Amino acid sequence: MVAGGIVILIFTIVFLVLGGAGFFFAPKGPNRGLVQTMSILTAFCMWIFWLCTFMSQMNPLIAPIIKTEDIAKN
Amino acid sequence: MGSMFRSEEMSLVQMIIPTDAAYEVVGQLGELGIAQFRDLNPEVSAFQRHYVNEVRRCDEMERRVRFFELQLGKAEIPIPDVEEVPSEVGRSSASHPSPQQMDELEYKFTQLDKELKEINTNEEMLDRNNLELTELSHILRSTREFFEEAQTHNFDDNSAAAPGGRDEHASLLGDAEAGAVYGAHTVRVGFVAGAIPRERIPVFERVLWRATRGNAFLRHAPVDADLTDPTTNTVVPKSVFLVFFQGDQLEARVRKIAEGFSATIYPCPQTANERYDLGLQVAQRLQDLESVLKKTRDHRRRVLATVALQISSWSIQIKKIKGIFHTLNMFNIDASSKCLVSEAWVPNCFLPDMRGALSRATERSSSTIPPIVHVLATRLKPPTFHRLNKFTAGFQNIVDAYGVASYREVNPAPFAIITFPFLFAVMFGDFGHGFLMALAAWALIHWEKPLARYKEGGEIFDTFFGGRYIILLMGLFSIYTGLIYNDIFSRSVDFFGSGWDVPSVTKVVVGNWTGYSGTFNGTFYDGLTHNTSLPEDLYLDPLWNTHTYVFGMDPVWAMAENRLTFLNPYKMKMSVILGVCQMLFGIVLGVFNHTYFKRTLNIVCEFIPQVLFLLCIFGYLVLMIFYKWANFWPHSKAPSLLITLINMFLKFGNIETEDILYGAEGAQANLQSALVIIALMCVPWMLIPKPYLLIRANKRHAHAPLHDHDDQGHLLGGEEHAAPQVAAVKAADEPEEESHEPGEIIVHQCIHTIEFCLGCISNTASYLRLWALSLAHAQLSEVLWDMVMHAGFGNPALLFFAWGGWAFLTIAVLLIMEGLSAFLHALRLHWVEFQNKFYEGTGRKFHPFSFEALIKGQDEE
Repeated sequence: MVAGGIVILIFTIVFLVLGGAGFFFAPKGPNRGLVQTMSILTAFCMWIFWLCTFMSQMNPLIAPIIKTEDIAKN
Repeated sequence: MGSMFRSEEMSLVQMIIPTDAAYEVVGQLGELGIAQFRDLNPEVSAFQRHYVNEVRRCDEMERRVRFFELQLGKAEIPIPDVEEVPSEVGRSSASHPSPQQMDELEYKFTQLDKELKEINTNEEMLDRNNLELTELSHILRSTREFFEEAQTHNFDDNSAAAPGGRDEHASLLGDAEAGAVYGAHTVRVGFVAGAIPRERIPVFERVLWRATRGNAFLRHAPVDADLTDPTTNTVVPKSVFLVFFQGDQLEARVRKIAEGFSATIYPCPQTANERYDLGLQVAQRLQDLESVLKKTRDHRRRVLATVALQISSWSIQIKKIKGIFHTLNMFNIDASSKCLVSEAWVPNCFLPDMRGALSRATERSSSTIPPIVHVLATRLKPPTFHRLNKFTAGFQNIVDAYGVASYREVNPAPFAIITFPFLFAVMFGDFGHGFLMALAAWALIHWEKPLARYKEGGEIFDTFFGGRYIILLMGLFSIYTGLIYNDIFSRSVDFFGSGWDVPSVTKVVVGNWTGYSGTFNGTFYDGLTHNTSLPEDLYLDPLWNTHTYVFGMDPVWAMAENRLTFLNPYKMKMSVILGVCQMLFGIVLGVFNHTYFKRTLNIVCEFIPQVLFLLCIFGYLVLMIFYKWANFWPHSKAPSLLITLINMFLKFGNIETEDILYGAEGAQANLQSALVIIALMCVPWMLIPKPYLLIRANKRHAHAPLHDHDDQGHLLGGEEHAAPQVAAVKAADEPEEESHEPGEIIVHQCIHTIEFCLGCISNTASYLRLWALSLAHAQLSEVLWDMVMHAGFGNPALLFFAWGGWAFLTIAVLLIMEGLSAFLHALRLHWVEFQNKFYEGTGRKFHPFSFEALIKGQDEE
């Protein structure tokens, strides 16, 4: 549980850094605003997608059922 | 965010231009393509306008150019593109031609036209001559053959009578005047020779037979040479014929019938000698004609070759001239007809460029008076103009296909650049498919320049090419979502080590018995007998999950029997989360519109209740989803979120024990009751205050004097002395004001409120398509792998074919078909679910007068 929280924190920071880098280091020029919007949105979309996937597996309600045959070595 | 966020600010510019400089001014502006001219004489028909003559001249020149093109096509001379023409010839296409050049062009065209037509008539005449002579020579030949044949035939019959029968002159039929064939009567046997289209021969023969009661004898022979009719330029198969008859009366009849069948009759001498001489003459004349014809054709080819070089640039120049005069026709002519008055929409950022163009035009036209420019204050709604580049244009097209943004409205396109490919990728998530898609888009981008010139691709290719940057982003996002779904062509990869401890199992085969040995759940099974073998299905326990897979889906699920049972709730919940985020984002974007257009009322009476409504119901649902994920639930105790949400309304104030998610006694019930009350209060909040305040404001407005309405035509740009009599903005195309009828306001608000409240529910449900499409895509690619690719394992030859089938189906079905379907669903989510939260889309596009667009438009036709 705690470990999960730390992973979430780390990934959130990573995505924040990625989005922030895009935001602050966007090239100067007429398209700067556009690049900034794009990087923030990209970081958010990727973050929430990862977050949903990660959190849905943190406390699984069901466990996998595996066919013995599928994992058997000869 | 620059011009992508809102459209460019526009000014309505009035220009008062001296008549002699007007052409040049419009030309310069057309080169830049920055001004959209307004039609100032909408009530004047096209034929009554001032420059109608010039437009007509342009039409005439265009007609001539088309004639030249036709001639070129006939002569099969290719027309080179403008870029391929040597610069000193095509140079004049770089800038618009001056009126003098127009006169020169017109003169040149008339000359060329005359010359070409002359050559053509000459050629036609020569061709006709040629045809006649050829036909005559054929007739002569077949006449000779016929008489020769008749003579030999005769010779066979009376071999004794004519020992020297080879001599043509001695033949009986050989000379038609020898009537003696027919016995004692010396009746003159005459004949008529001519040429006739081959298919008419049978009818001709029958008619002749009937008309002469069998007293005429027809001989015909097909002409093997292709005879081309010079008027229609088609090959007509012909036959030559000889008709024999007796007497002048029959001759007249035969001639008439032949004429009726449009046969050409040629004078054919009666004696063989004369025919021989004529034959020589005809051959001589044919030879002469041939050489003259060759020279004529060469001459025409030379003329056309020079035309071919210039014709592209000519047609561009005429387009430009015509465009200029069309624009000039929209101008108002001053009473003294010394100057023209024009009005144009110009983006503010281009105003300096426009002034530059005007001063250049004054210089070029050597006009003494510079044009006078004002910026008019107006109530007209300006057109919408976004400054785009090749990357953003595709995304703007997606938005414009739904509706062009109203002037200065928040533009959804810059956000769609990311959210559109992202939502697409949620439905299309597969690393392999995303990679292929990105690769294809990369190829389109890498060979962008040669491909842009490629015109034969058709509409489908153009669509893909125009959307190459969209496809690239879609591919890249699909790579990411594919990694998260852990789908690579439907296979999974264990990058970080699964969080589930899967027992290692060994297959044991003893005689007929197959069992599995291994340690499961703390017990060792040796797999030797029924009792000691591992069960067929291994039920893992949620408690054995040692850690959560760090990035994406745990690969153990790829081989789990209950994979979908696990994936479906996850994808469904994620769809709702993404949907609520995007809808909330849309509502927040609405605030930028409200503040920009100073609609404070809308913030208080629309934005705030809308956000509260959405958050209290679906925001709460999202929170519950995360809460449920973050906590551990013994299997049977987990509450169903959907039922909790429904019961929040149905069992208001109470809570079922199985719905309890968190909190001590009743805390959840209390919170949920509060949320429901807030959400329900939002409905009258949206419904009532706004129409009430609007109606009250209108009433007050109606009592106030109307003096602040006539600010039209007020000149801002200084130089007030310029043209006081110029009527500025006509009331005819005033924009429709927002309705002030109280009934309409109330109805409008009712619809708006109901639409929003129901929309929140149906739109959230609509986002579930993210789950459905992604499920369908994953299942389809898995089925393809299992059914096609899997069949080839174990046999190299079979594998090759299986791989071929699998690769083909992957591209055709999964990439193209599934891609299109995911594209359409992403499109819908943006147009309906996202944009209806803030986007009006009632603007009209800025169409500047631009030569570039004119010339491009020509290609599209």
